[in-house]
Order: sequence, then C-alpha cells, then structure tokens
Amino acid sequence: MTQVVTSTVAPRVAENLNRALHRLFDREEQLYLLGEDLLDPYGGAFKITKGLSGRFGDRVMSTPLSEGGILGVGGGLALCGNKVIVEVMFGDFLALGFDQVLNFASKSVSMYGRRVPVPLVVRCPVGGNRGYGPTHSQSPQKHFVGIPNLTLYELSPFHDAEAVLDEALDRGAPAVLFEDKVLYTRRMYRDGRVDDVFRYRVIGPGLGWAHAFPDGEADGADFVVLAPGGLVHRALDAARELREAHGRSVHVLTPAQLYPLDVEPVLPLLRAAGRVAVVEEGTAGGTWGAEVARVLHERIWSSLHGPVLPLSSCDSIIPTAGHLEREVLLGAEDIRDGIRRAAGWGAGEPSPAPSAASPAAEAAVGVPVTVPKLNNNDVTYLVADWLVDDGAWIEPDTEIVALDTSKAQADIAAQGSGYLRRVAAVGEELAVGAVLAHLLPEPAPGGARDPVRPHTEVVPAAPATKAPGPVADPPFGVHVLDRVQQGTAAVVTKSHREIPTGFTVVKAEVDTVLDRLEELSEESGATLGLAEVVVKAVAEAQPDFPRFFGSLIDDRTVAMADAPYVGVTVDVDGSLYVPVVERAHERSLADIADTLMDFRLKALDKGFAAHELTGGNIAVSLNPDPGVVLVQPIVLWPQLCMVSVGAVGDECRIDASGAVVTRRTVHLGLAYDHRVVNGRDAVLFLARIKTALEDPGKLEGEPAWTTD
Amino acid sequence: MRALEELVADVLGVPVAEVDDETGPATTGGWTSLRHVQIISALGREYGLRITPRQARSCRSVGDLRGLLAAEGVSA
Repeated sequence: MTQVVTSTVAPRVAENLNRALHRLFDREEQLYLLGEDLLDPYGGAFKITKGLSGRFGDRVMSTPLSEGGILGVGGGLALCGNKVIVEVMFGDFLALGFDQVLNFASKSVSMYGRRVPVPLVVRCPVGGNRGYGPTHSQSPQKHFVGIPNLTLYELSPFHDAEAVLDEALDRGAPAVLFEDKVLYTRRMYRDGRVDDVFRYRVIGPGLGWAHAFPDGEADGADFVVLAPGGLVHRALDAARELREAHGRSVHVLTPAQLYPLDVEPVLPLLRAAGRVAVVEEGTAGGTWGAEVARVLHERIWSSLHGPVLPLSSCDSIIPTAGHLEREVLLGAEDIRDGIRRAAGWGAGEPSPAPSAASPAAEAAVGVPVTVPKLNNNDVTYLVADWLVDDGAWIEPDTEIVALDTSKAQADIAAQGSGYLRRVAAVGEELAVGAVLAHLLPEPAPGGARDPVRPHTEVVPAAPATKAPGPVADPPFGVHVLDRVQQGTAAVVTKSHREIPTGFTVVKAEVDTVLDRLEELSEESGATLGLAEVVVKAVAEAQPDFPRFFGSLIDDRTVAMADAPYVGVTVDVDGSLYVPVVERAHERSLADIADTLMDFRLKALDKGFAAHELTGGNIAVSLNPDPGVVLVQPIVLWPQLCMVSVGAVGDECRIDASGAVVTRRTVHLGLAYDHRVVNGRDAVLFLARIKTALEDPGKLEGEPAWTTD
Repeated sequence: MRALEELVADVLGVPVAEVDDETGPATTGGWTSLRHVQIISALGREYGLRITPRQARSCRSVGDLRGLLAAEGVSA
C-alpha cells in the first residue's frame, strides 16, 4: 500500500521560524536583520534565514565576525526607530556582545529621561547534544537573567515563532530569543496534540504557557515539570516513562518567555500538584531554575510537598566526545530519576503488573501491606525495624513493622492474615502507598527473601544538580536539615506566612510558688518544677478562655476544643519536639512532672510515638536556661496561641516599708493569632497564669498540690 | 563499664574528683534540668536499665543515683 504524504504534517521548528521571519519582513518595512553568513545561498549556519536575502536584500546584512560590532549597530538602528533582529551564530558568542546588550541596548531604554523604544531581538542557537564542544554548546540563558529592560524568550515546539517574535519586537525593549539547536529539526505541535497519550493547551495571557498533560488528566497532576522549549522533549520522555512505570500523571509546562516569568497563570496547577521540578540545560550554579524556585517558594510554599526540584546540567564544561557530553548534559533519564527520587516513587512500589499475570503468580505475591499516611509533614518514612520475623504467621491487627516519621515512630499493623514476606529493608525511605510486605496464603518456600522483590530506591535528602558518578556527601560548607528540623521548618513557615501574631509579656513573682515546690519536692522525694505548674495553670484556664484553645476553620469560624491539650517544647539535644500533655487540668502536678520527664527522656532517645506529638490545642515554650529573659514563640499552626516562660531571675524591689528586698521573677509571654484574640484578651489570659504562679492556692482542684 | 562518678563527671564536664555522693542540682550549678536528663539517659544506657520518669525525678544527687542502681541490682 502506498503511504500518502499529506500537507497535514506539522512543520519543523526551523521551518516555522524561517516562515515567521519571511512574514515579518513582508509586514514590517522598517525591519532589519544582521548577522554572520546570513546571505543566500548559505542562509546562516542553521539555515534559519534562508531565502530572506533574496527577497529583502537591502534589509538583510551579512556582517564581519564581531558580535560586539553587530550588536552595537543593531542597538543603534533600533534606537533610531527601526526594528532589528540580530542573529548570533552560536549563543556562546553572545559573550562577545554582552557589553552591547547589558550596557547599551538595555540601558538606552531608560537613560534619556523618557522611555525610548529599542526594538531589538537577538536570536541565538544554544545547547549541546551535537558534539560541538565546550564553546559551541552552551546554554547561556542564566547569564542574562535579571537585567533590567531585557526580556528573555525561548523557542518552543508549542509556540508559533511569529507570535513570539512579534511580541518581542513590540515590547519596545531589547530581548533575547534562545533557540535550542536540537529543536530545529523537530516538528511543531499543533491542534492541542503532542502524541497518542499527551495533549496540550495554552494557558495565561499573551504567549502564555503550554501545558502538556496525559489525555483526560488536565487537572490531576502528580508532578509538574517546568521546562523551557529546548527541554520539552526530554521532559515529555521522562513524563511518559514515569507514567508507564508508576501510573503517575506528570505534566510539562513550557513558557514562551523565560524572564521576567509570569507564574500567575500556572499557580493553581502547581498548588494542586504540590510537587514541582524546574529543568534546564544550563550548567549548575546561578541558574534560571533557582530563580524560578525562589519565586515559587515565595508564592506557594505552603502548598508544596517539598522544595521545588531544580535540575540542570553538571558543573562542568561541555565535552566534545558524545559519551562524555551525555554525562554532563541534563537528559530525560536525569529528569525521570530526579522526579522519582523527589516524589519517592519506585521506592518499594510494585512494578507495573505484567499484562498476563497468572493466578499462581498472584498467589505467590499475596496481599500487600503498604505504607499508610501518618502525618501531613512527610513525603516519605523510614523503615525503622521489623517487629516480626520474615515468614511468620500474622493475625489481623498484629503490628509488623515500625516506621520513623520526621518526629516519631509508628508501628504499622497488618489488616489481614497470612505468612509475612518482607519487601522493604530496614533503613529504606518509603513513600505513602509503597509496599512494605506481602501476606501470603502459604509459607514461602524456604522462607526465602522475596525473589521478585521490586526495585527500590533510597531517597536522598535533596536531589539537585545532575552529578556524574555516585551521590557524594554534602559538600563542605553545607548543612542538610535532618528530618525533625524539616518538620519544624514546615510548621513554622506555614505559621509565619499565615498567622498575623500579636505578642504580650507580663512579669510574675515566683518566690512563693518556688518555695512551695521545694517543700513538696522534699516531702515527696521527687523534684517538682515551675514547668508543671505553668502547664497546669494554662490547662485550667481553658473553660474561661476557650477561644485560646481553638483553631480557625475558615476566616470567621473557630473550632473549639473540648479539653485542654497542652504542647510543651522539649529540646534536649538540638531536635525540637512539642509533645502534648493531655487533660492536665485533671491531673496532679506530680503526674504532669512525670509526663514532662518522660518527654525529655524520649526526646533524647528519639522515642516519641506519633500520638504523643499530635492533638495539642495550645503550646507552652519552656526556656529555663539561666539568663533567658523571654522567648517570643511562633504560634504552631493550626493552634492560635503559644505561651512562653523565661528563666527565673532575681530582682531588687523597694517594698511598702521602703526596705530593699530581693524577689525572684519570670516573664510570661503570649504569642496569639490576632485574627481571633485581641491584646486585652491576651493580657487577661496572662494575668490568669500570673495569678496561678503568684498565689498557688488559686490553682484549683485538690489534685494540684498532691504529689502522687 | 564506667564508674558512676565517672559517668556523671563526663556529662557535667567536670573532673571526676569533684563528684561525690552529695553532688546534685542543689550543690552543682552545672547540673541543670537538661544535664539531669542526659545523666539519667546515660545511666540507662551504661547499665542497661529502663529508668522510669518517676525514678528520674527522685534522683536528686549522685547518692540517689547509686541507690537507684543498687535497687536495680547494679553495684557501681
């Protein structure tokens, strides 16, 4: 059968660009094109300007080999009221014209007391994967980020080149259009279709962003990759592979304009996904992606499951030899692996089911036990310990494995019964949904390890730049936050962003209560301290100050708590925990003291259970180290208030008879969510705690001063 | 196995000669509530004991710690 080639095949990117230039020259009589070797029959190093010199000979000029000269003339022509496109043969050579871009063209716009149009577009082929070597393969975009009046575009297979050039020239200020060489021979995408699986749409005003997604999943991204035009194919290849391997929906967003970057139109998509990577071919350090990540962290930090993942080429020159060039440049597999690590996919997940799985194979695999979601802070959990032997018979609800979250250990129970076959190994980091073990109906032959154990990966803390060879230790001068601190960071960042806090301080005299505590300690033979008195006093204030123990459901509704659950700060070896003292109003001081001691010992051994760290509806920050006047705490979202207690200090006072007396005092602070609590309420609340300390008899309830 | 005095001296960062049965939070400024927790934790690890929070609160000197060890069948 004869294959009929029709004209419906999409044009190549180079053809689209060449056509765009022809149309522009048809329309714009004041348009000039300058560059090296542009004239026919050569038509430029990449033939993008083919046919132009024949049709518009007086406005298309081949120039001497001097980028400084070409860009100087181009800038001058633009300043004099013309529109100018300059082709720089390789983006690498733009370095020779950098002064003209930085100090002349971009400055001329605003150096005359009024805005002067400088419609200059510098086109340059960039990127590697062609074996052109260190000085003909670079992606210099990052060197042009952040220059006032200079706009950066990148050619993409989604965006029509004529529209891009039109907008760039109409800005009236200089622009650079980066054109990845590998794109030239690729086809344009059109009609909303990428391939059999992926579709795309354009979102946002102007040239907008191309949004590529698996058909029917426009609103359901698991991960979003921000990829400039040159990286589109590599990003899509990674998305396809991740879809096949893990069934995940990875979307690709491509802006026509790299800088300044208008992220507004894509924020809803990024928020919903919560996981974002920015990819680029430029080498590591001072990258465009780092700038994008900074903007996104500022805008949607609290919606992200983890930091934006910036992926770039290595910190290296670009070798000429193909196998070495591939090592250095960011490829589809690097994007795939980076996303997989960041998302925790593939860590213990089953491989996609074979299409013709036999019943026997299913029986051998058994019922999976998977990682449950244990909190909102962590993307992955660490397998801490197996609690039962491999091959053992498991009854329902038997706890089989312990997982470490960033703050606590949780024991995971089996839902069903069966012979245990472990899949995950101690020390592995697993994502929610990953397989921990299988429960088999029959004992596995020989009780051996799972012979079809899926491939698992250990998740490093912060995958970033493509690095050849094994992942190295963090470089000197870098500190990677541990899991506990990452959990703290997430909470305080959210609080800092979302809670408008007020802060009030009062001073309380504590001689009486300290003396009483000393007596009680002597009587009972066990130490009692100020912390337990404060915790109890705070808890007992709940009936009179119910809003202080609530949390905001929406802008105007506070969910009230049924009883006080007081979190207390415990930091004994550099890791901050806020375990919760439950219902302290019903408990004796000795009982509370035991609980606090228990917390301190657990903090030292990192032995908290998850339930001990959750459910607090107010918190107390304890800072007994000598000399601490006061600490201003950050309210722990979704709570509304946090009390802080400084160290006991001595101060001299003149009493009623005029005599100098020494008093011991502490400062009590209250940080409060000002949307719910006002300053006067805060003072009343603190006065209540102060009274409890200064007049311990006011601490209500018989159990208060009993010691067991 | 370290002697009790040695263990306490290590945590407090003082010469072992300065530690005797009277040493405790009341006599030694460096014996803060944080150091107390570290001493208890080190004691548990060194001698393989599981010390309850109440026992931890009841130890107010090295002599008390020695009593605790004796009650658990450890001589140190």
